[in-house]
Amino acid sequence: MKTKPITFRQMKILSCYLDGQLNLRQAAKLEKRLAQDSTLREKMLQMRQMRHLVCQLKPKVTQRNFMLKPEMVAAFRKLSPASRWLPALSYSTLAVAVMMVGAIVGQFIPMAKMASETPVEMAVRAPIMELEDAAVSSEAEFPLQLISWGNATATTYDAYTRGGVGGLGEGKGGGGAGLTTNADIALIGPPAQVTNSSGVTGFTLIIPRADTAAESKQPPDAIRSAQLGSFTVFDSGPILGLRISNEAEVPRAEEPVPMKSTQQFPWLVVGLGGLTLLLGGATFILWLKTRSA
Amino acid sequence: MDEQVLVQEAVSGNLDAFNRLVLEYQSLAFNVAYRILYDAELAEDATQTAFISAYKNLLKFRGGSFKAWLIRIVTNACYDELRRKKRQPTTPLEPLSDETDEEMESPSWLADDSRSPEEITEQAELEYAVQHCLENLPEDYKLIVMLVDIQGFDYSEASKVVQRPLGTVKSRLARGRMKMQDCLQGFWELLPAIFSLKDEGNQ
Repeated sequence: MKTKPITFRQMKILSCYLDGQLNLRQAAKLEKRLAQDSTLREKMLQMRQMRHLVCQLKPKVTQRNFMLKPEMVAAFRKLSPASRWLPALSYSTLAVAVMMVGAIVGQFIPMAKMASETPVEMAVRAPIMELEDAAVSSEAEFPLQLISWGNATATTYDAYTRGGVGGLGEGKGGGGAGLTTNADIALIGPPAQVTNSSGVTGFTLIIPRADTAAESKQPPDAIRSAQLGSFTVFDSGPILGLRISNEAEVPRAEEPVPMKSTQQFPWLVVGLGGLTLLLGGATFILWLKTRSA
Repeated sequence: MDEQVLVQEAVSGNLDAFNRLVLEYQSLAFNVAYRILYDAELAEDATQTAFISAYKNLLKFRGGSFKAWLIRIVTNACYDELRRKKRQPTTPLEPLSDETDEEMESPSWLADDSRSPEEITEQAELEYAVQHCLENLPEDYKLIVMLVDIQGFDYSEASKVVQRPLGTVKSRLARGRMKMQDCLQGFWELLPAIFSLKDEGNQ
């Protein structure tokens, strides 16, 4: 006679057996086991007894009739206008909330985009100063370093020009279309010929500090040591507030449109936020009413 | 008339068809509610709420067992009622006796007049023992044991009511029965002999 403890799996099988949920093979296997195992047999008897006891409970009788009357149906159908408005209000709230989030996100996209821009991309977006304005600005304490050039390849190696305040000089060896500036400037050469992924060749342009302009009569090597920074220009075109000389007089047909952000329209976010709150509040009240009804 | 036909007519707005379904299942629905709430009045209210809810949501019924769908609504209504009761606990008022003006411990309206006083007493003892043990079961086990052992649902119907796989129902039922068995051990001596298993064969 076996006296092994009964596992939950065995109890589960016993429970299913009592309800006739085992197939013939499983039932035969269990019956064989029951014939050998007295503990299992005892457990089954207890479970049968419990099940029998519970089945003895008489059903409760109620005198109440739960049939629905037409008046009851009409009564809860009267509440249906609120129920009809609830989905509409919910979706409206959701839509306005999404628009508000979009507006808020829209504020950050231009900032993030500007942060990821290369200097050349920033230059395209930078305000363009005309030559006339440059003449006025040059009288300021820190004169603008206004440079314009026509054809980058026309500028000769080691070009070094000096233009007086308010006056423009032309670069050496480049002809009329050479590099012009109202400040000291040097092209380090032989120009670092750089080729970008598009196959366009450029060169390195170095601009000295304004405060070192007075010493700019020094040889180019000295200027190199005082350089503010260098950057690579591909082809010809506007860069860091500079523009091609032959474009200076011609108004641009395709002026880059400055990106507008919702920072310029704070009322939009505030308005959408207010509307979201209003609709959300109305939806919540309506939902509470519907629920309590 | 076939249940499916009644359901289809009820879905199309026929209140009479729905009421025939109500008549068919109201006793079962009330008993399920009573076993969960153990309060006749609350059970009646929950049952009525469940039928109204069922009528409102008939369009959401996607076929299958109407009985299982309805009992699921009843159990949900009962759990809502339990939650509400938990938030706002109340003390029930016992009815007063006409002669003594004292509260009656066993309200007469719950008694079934068709039975003898002995039967009523024995049934009350059994009722107390089983309900006490049911109340001590975890909610998941309680519902399954009540549906299968008291209301006579088969496993697949119970599975649809609780929206759990068949295997889960089998496991919960076995665990619930084991717990019930342990709990009822304490009542064996107190229960009348007619409820012992020996009588099963005689009945």
